[in-house]
Amino acid sequence: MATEISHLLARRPILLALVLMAALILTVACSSDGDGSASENSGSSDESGELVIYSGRSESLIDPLIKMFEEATGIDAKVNYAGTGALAATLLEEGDRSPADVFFAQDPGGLGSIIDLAAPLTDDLIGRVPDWARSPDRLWVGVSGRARTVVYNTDKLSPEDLPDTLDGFTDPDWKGRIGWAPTNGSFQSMVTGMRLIWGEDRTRDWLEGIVANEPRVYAKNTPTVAATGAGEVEVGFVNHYYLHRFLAEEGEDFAARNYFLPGGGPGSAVLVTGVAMLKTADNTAQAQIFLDYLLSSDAQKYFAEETYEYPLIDGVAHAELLPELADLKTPDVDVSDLGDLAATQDLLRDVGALP
Amino acid sequence: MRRKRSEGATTDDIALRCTGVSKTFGTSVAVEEFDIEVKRGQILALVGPSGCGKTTVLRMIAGLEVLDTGRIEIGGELVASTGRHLGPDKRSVGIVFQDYALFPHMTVEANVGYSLGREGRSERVEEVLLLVGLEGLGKRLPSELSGGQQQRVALARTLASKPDVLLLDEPFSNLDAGLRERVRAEIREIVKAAGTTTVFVTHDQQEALFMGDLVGVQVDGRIEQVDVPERVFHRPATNFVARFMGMADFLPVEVVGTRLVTEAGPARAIPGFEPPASLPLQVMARPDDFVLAPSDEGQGVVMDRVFQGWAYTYEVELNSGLRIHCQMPHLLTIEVGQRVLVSLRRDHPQMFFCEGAATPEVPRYNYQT
Amino acid sequence: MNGPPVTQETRVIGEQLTVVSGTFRISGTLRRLLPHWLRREPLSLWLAAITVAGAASLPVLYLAVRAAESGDSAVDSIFDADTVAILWRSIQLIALVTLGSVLIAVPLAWLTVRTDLPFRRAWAVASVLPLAIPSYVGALAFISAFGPKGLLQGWLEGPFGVERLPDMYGLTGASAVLILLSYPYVFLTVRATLWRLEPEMEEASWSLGRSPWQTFRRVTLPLLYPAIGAGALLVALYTLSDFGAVALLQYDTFTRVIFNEYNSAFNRTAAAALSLVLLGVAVSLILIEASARRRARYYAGANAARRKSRVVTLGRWRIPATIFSGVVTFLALAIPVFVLIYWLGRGINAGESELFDWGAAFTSVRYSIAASVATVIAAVPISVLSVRRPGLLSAGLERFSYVGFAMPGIAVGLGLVFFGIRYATGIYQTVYLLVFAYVVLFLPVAVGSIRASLMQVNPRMEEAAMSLGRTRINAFLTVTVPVIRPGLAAAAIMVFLLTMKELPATLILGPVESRTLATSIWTAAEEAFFARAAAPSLLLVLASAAPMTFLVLRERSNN
Repeated sequence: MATEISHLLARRPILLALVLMAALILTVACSSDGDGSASENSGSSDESGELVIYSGRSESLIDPLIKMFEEATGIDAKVNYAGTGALAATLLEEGDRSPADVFFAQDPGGLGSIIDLAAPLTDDLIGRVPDWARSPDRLWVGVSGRARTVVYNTDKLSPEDLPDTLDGFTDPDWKGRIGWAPTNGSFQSMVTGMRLIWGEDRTRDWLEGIVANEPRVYAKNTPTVAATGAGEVEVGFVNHYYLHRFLAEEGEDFAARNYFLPGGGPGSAVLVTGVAMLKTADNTAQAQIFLDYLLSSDAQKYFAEETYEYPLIDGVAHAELLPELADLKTPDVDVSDLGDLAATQDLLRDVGALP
Repeated sequence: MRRKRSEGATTDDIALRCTGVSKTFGTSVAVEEFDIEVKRGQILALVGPSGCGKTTVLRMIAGLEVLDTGRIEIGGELVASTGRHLGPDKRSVGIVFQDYALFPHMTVEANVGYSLGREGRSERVEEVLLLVGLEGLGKRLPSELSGGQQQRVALARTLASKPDVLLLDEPFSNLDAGLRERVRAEIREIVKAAGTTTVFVTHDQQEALFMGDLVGVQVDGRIEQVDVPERVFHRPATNFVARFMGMADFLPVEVVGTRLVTEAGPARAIPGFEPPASLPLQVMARPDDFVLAPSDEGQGVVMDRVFQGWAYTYEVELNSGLRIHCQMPHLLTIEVGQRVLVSLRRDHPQMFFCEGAATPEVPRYNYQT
Repeated sequence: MNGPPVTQETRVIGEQLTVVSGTFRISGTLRRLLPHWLRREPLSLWLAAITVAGAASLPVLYLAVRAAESGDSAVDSIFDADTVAILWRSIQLIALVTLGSVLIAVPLAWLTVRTDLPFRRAWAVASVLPLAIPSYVGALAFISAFGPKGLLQGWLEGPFGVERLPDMYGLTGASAVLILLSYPYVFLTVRATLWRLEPEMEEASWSLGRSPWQTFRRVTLPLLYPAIGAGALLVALYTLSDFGAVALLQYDTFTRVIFNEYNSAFNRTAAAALSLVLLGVAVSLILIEASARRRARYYAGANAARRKSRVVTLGRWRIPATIFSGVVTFLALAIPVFVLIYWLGRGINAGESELFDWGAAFTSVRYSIAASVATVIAAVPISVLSVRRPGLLSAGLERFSYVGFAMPGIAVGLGLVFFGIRYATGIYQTVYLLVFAYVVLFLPVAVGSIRASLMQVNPRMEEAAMSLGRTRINAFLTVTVPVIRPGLAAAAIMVFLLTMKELPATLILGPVESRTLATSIWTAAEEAFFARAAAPSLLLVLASAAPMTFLVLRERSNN
């Protein structure tokens, strides 16, 4: 039977071509979740009233929040998940033809790069978060906070063994025991903060001191925390909330905990995720509602309890495991300034932290 | 590298001897009780219809197939028997495939010299290229050569290794008809000049008759007859051989007293012929054994006529319904539908067959040249 | 010579592919105006090939446009001493990985095609499956298994007191992991060619006194060079553009510099300029392979109905051969799968639910089927022309089709965003543009495999069919295609696998709400949800195993 069909097809090339095309179109257009047909007109207009969000924050964290939003407001949200850098580049390429309404970024740097595409936000929105957690030109607003911290291996160390500030880690005792991720955006933001607070020279000294201690280099926060828990390194410079992910997945036995530097300084900087409304937005009303929702107590509670980040509005408590934001001895820096990474990268390259 | 002939092997006059060789693939018997003997320097033409197992025999001699039973001896050395099998690289046999199988990534020189060690290689390659008439083409690639040239390279490649036995598998079937006759003659000359014992396989009986010092007719895996070309043609051992080697008709013969009577008149036997008693007897007649004469009282009617230049071949239906073929010189033209008198020539002694086999019996295996 | 005009044409919207199923005859006068090399039929084939190559070049155009914008700063960063140093690191990695892949794949291919290795079909399937594992998942799994404080160390600590395993980071670790994940490229192309090799050549060599090993070295291996070259080029280009694995294995390569520009500096113009440098390296690799390939114009004998190659009995080599196959597949396939299952189990234990996203699996499979069909079709004109009408233009087209594979996926994605949003808004962010992106990305994989197969085919066979009254296309389909089926199949499998695990272009160009297995894995792994990453990873391997098994099993009956 099969051979007969294949002979038939071979003898009649049109037939073969048509069958192949039909197969192609069928596999492509047959949709169960509306990917092919439903979005066919998502060129530059959304008459259907869908809110298009580009999210550099990962789906695993944000999807439940989006669902909550849709339930609460009845608005249909379509989210495009990808890396913040890729999305920023995409937005820039799309220009004024972009179908996106809102850009939800992992860090201020991403927001900074598309600042020309962002539309001004209302006072009400801006006013909900602390001054340091938003763009000075009111073009984006912070949504949740992540504190820089030092994760340490509990099998080998206890809090007393750790220095009060980051300076302490340049001590040669720490040789071979540190892990860091110099290519990571949050780390680079922290170093930018250092440059602002300590000045270029002291920052350079600190970097050279760490480099002299031969730290292990990891690509991101996640492998750094994993390595610390496994004992591959004993301390790591990371964002606070990753630990909780590991605790949730591997249980309380996971041999690492966060150490918030009692001495404060740039090592205790709090970074934010942020959101901007785009000038190209067709559904400005709905975008407003979304931004409003993100800064409402429901969403902020979500960030506090589900992702273990710091809520930024008043009146929402953070997760129990976290110290108070006020106790963090955060340095006095405008978060938006921490987004300018170019000079930091040059410095890192100079000291040999970045190849 | 090819193994040198081991000590103690007799340098026989027989270059190749197969005894009782059989090979079965699954349920089908490809070769059965195959016996053959080829003297040093002889060319054996192995001929038979497609699927009769000729190529399998060749591959077994080359060592590319393992025989089931029997023995193969090359140059007096036992190379294969039940339980013993020398690989092709250990035998002194060369095989030229139907599609030449030249190495496309090597030049002609490299191809021809492939089997040789470094010492004396270029001289030998020169020598062999000269032998096959391809001198000067050494640096070419096979893809740059014509079919005929490729074949000669394949031949040269095999001859360069000085094999005891050369095997050619339907070497001319890829060539166009006009070329074929000329190439045949050339190849025969080359092989004879090289003095190599050759077994050459074909399904074309003309080729076999021309090329071979000996012709072996193979049917269904068995040898029906081995003999010099003339005798295979004129003294076939069986009906099948007779038909295969050329057009042949068989007329029933009635023994009347001392005469042998057929529908085409009396048949003449060789002196001393004793017809067997009461068995159905037939006489074999080739087209040149008949004579036709237009006649209203004839016992045959011309059904078809084929023009062959210097002769016509007529297909005549006799009254009994039997059809015979007769070749007559072109000067006499008989029209289709004409009634003719058919008779057997009086000056040709005929061959007689009984139950498919010649009588008196013709020896199946005759290696006397 | 006047003939009928264009007979039949079918067009796929948005993909700019033209499948022509009749010959395109133009009137005599018009034809005389064309240059000689274009005049020879089939014109339709040339048009198709040029269209495909042109489409594949869109991302390069994009890079050129953006790079031009970046001006001086780009030039500075390109000619930086550090850039050169890091480029050198990439090149070292490429050399090691390519060499290692060839050394593993060629014997493995030979063992599974030509010998009586027990369970060779199973080994064949297992040997190709590592292609299904995304490089970052593979790297994560290996680190998890063999890292200084990984699973293996954990087991050894108890009975043997092993505190810490030696480092697997750096060049050694990165090469090892990449070799194990990319040797299947060479494996597939060599296998496809091995099936089609004319056994008479090896038999001739054998009967000329060369031992089987010498025959392999002097006859079989040289005939495999085109296939090895095609596979090696793919490995090299894949290694060049990989980022996920090398980042995790802490070996800095050039791709990290590019990645940095996109994700930390948010400087896409500088990234574009650096991507062009990467492309330049890729082009050099392509040219190297091309010059090595120049003399190979082999084809087999006239009859396709030939005997199978003789099966080599391994005898006492059976055990070492099995061990070899076992070790390779154990490391390349079993270890990652084991780690994935371990993570999955741990997640289930911790009470996680809804780990298996069947919707994403279905989407992945659909996209991959569409991509493999589209890519194979798109690859045929270029392959045919480069084999049958060798010359500057066809060679150029073929070389050009390789650029997509060498570019970082993000560059291809952005390039198509650039063109899509301006000129093809109707299909922007639809699956059609995405499939187009897949074609651009994976075209060379298909071209390489089909070419290698076509080189084994005698064009006289098609001509014989045409003289029997078939049109050229018909002759191609009925006579040549069955013969090159293994090559087509290998091309389809590879594109299928690659699409299943493709990430950056899918993220950028995919329809907004669609999820594939690859994006699910990424999104979970980003946030260290390993169990949630393990489930789609396993699904990906399974989904890839099914078509692979089917095709490997059918190979046998085709031959």
